[in-house]
Amino acid sequence: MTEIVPERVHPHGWRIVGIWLLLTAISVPLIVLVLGPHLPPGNVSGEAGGQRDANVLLTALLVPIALLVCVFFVYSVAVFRNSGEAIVDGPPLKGHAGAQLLWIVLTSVIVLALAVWGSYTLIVSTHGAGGGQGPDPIALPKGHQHALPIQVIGQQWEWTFRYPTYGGLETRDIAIPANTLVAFHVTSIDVTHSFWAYELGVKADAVPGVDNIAFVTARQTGFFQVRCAELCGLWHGHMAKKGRILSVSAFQAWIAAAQKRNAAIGKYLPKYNHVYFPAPLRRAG
Amino acid sequence: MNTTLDPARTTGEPVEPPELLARNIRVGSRIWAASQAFFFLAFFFAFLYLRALNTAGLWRGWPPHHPDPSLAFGVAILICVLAGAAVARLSVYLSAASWRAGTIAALVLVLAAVGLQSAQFSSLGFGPTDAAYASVFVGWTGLFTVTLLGTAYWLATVVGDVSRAGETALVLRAAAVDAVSFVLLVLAGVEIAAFILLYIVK
Amino acid sequence: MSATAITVRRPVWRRLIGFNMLTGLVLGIGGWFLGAWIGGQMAIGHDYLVGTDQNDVGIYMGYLFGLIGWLVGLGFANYPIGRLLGRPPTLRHHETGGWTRYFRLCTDHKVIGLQYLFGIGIFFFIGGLNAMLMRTELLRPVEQVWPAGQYLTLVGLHGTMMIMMTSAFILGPFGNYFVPIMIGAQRMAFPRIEALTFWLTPAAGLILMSAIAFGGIPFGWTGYAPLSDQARSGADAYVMAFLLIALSMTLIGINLMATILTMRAPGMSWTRLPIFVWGVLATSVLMALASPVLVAVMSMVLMDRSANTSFFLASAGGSPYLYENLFWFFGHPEVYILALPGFGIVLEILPVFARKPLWGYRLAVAGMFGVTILSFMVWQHHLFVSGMNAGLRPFYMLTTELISIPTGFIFLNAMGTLWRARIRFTVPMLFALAFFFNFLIGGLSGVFLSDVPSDVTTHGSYFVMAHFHYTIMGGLVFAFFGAIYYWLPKMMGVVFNERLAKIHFWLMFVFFNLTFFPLFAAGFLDMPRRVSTYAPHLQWLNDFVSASAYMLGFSMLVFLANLVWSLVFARIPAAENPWASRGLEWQLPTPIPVENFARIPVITSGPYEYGVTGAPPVADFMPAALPAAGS
Repeated sequence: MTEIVPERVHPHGWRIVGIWLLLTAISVPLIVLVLGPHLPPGNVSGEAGGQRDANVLLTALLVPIALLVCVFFVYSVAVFRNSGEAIVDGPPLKGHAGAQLLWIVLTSVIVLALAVWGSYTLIVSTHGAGGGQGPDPIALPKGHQHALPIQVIGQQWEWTFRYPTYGGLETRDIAIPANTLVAFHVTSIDVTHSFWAYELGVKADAVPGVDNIAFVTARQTGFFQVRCAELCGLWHGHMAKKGRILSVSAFQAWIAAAQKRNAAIGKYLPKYNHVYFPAPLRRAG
Repeated sequence: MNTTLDPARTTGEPVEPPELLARNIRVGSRIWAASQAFFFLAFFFAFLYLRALNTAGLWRGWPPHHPDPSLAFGVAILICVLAGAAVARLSVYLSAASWRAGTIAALVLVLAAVGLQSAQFSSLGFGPTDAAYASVFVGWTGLFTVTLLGTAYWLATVVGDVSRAGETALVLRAAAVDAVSFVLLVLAGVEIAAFILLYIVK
Repeated sequence: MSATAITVRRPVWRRLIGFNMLTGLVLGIGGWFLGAWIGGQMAIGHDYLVGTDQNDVGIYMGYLFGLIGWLVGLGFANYPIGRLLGRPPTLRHHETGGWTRYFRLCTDHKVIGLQYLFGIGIFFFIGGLNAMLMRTELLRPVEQVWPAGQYLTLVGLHGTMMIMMTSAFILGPFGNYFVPIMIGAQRMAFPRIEALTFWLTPAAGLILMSAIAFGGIPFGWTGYAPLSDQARSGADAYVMAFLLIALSMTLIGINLMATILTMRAPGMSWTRLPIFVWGVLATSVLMALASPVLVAVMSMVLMDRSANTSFFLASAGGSPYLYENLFWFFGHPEVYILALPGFGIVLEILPVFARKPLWGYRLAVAGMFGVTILSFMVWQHHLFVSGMNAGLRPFYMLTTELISIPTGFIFLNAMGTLWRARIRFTVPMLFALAFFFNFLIGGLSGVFLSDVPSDVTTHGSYFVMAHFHYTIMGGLVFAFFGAIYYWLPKMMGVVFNERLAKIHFWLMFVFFNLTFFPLFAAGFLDMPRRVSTYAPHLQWLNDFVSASAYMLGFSMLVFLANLVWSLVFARIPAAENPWASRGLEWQLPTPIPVENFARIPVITSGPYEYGVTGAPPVADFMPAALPAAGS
């Protein structure tokens, strides 16, 4: 490697680092303090809060990385330009072992730290982070044996909900009790859907023949938006519902009312099961 | 007739050394064999995955009726494919004089495997609609047979090459036999996996 | 091929008869009807069984026979039949001739490169038009322009056109055209297979578009299985087209890999290989190994739809998870099939206009192959919330995040190359720089998706959509245009209008970002992908995106206008080496002769020795003795 000594040594590296430090010092507090509390999916449930914390941390970590690369590029483009018409060759630098090693070590450390932190939050602190864990969940929250099971059945193009604790009660709208551990059992009877309760921070694919379990504990009463997050045919965009988070007593009242309303049709429903296998699929002709 | 290697041909294009063509064929056949291995890897995975999931307990079909392909056919097909690959591969290591007999024997054996598979399909006793195992069986063996048929065409061209020995350079013929026999060897490996899974493990 | 056969000028109608595209179309359409009839006879009652009026077996047989007719009409059967009849193997065929060779089977890799450029370009613009139509629908939060099924077919066609038809977006045009030249070879390893890979592409494209006539493909480009099992016969077209493209990808991968491994000129050592060729090599490994899995999974869908197997039907012992696993086992390498040649292109362009050697050459190669290997181990990150293998999620989180290490190498290469450089802001350089900006955002947004807790929010939302548009459109397409502006003077012998080219760049760069950056927000704000109706409070965001998307589309028209103007009207001849590049391809005359090199050159120096005092010329084009090629 032959280094051609330039006529005048500019402290390019220090300038880039300086600009980057300045921008980082401005942007990171803004992200954490100003943008952070507004990042989705909010703080309605513990799981949603965990996702929001992940989003805040990732933004606060990745924006400085983006800034470093951008500052370097913008600085290079502004300073290392060939202003004349003649083509002039630059210094023939072919590499720098130290810089490469530093880069590899830094990116590896960041990546491994992210993976460890992500696994920790996924398994330990948010118990699956509200994502579907399949029929045999591995990240179990405390007291999961006593979680309130709610079955979510996706079909083209409607969600229905069953409450096995209340005699397999089936409803077309969903309500969950606040401050109670809820276990969503998501399944489908035709094609693959994805149950997305936005404010709750729950997303679990509804796959035919699979009982996909996601845990959530809502911290406050209110509403949450239900959507379908996996293309499921014509009216995929219409599988939207407003769910309700009720206080425990209001939830009991809501169940009682629903049971009363559905009493007549209850006996026609299939027996509650983790999965359902209806007649073979027919083409949507 | 010999347009390939006649240096007197004056079309303005330079004549490439046959060693280069030979190496292309050898290298290409290795990659092609790898591609085919990955193709059948999908069926390998499908077998193990569907068997492990056993959705609705229907892996082996609806209860009173379990698809059960004839083991005799399976063994016969296995022997044909293995023997075909072995004969073709062995002839690579023998003298050039044995290539013709070796490739013809391999061609006959491969075609026999195709014929036996077709015969098995016509007397299978179950159909593709008999749930997951039947699907994997029909899909895997069916597409394997199609692949064998394609390889048989290639083998036939190699038989032609080694039969008209004077028209192509020795290195080219050696490469052709080597290439097709290597692919057959990989296909034989696939067939062993298929036999173990489809006929024994089930 | 005698010289007289070329010089005799026959009337145009006479030249239409023979083995060419027209014959292929006629035989293809004829074959379709023959096959559909045969298939209908084979499976009488299938239409009743599946509950539609469409006989899938007939449609598949139609496509199969149509494909055979297309290939026979193009002349692909001549050689195999000749071989069976005892004709000896020949090296080169149909390489000379005028413009008509662009419309028939030609084994000259430069002709195939241009065929690919225009063929894939057509599909790219069809896909872009689909995007414009989709954005029109999304101007209002309710259904307005397209019925739901047609909207979803537009979504599916846009995705399939952009991801599958353009899988060889860079490998097809530039890989075929320049790889043999860059390694000092006179041809590709398997020229007939090379021609086949191209001619399968228009067949696949026509078959894909015929889906519109059979009920569309209302299931997106991923075609998740119970949905595609259920769809009407448009799904047959999707399956068949995907099968053919996957076959084409496998073959192009094998061909390019074999070419690079065996046909390098003497002196073209692994450390002198242009970085673009390294990118192509890494990509072809992915293509040769991942695409066969796609062939397999598509043949499973084909059997599910025609032979009534139950690979993916849970009610008959199958599993939708099987499709998702196999599809993404191909699908994730596929996105690197799109990205890696882009890395190669920009790293090829940067040193030329920075006037510096490529900084950290070995690191770049390591980065590309690191991505190649890791991309086979990450596929379940598409399935974090699917409920399969929840225990494996930390593993896939780790592998997915690991892939950002080798990707980071590419950024370090670029930064090192720009360091104290003498940058010239030509149009290719602008596109290369924009590539890094876009890919930076695309790559970093991918970290959100790799982290499971964050992915639970963003999975299946517009965030994902914005992410992969930043990597594919912002990465691949910017690299593609950079390559066009960089290499077209050599490929076509004309120069582009630079003013129009710069207008194209700035429009495209600005409105690309204005189109896709807001979509990160749309995803965060609870907007799922592939919907034609959405929450009314997101209308202003979507209107803004649609307006930007129209301007993005307009920038493509600027490019087209520039292409037509430069190619047809202005025709300003290009200098042989307008960029003063050290690349081997730039040392050749324009147009490049059919055999590329009169003799196999001896490579004497690396391609990036800018500013190195006493660096020898890149190659000796008239070596005294004809060396053994490939050694």
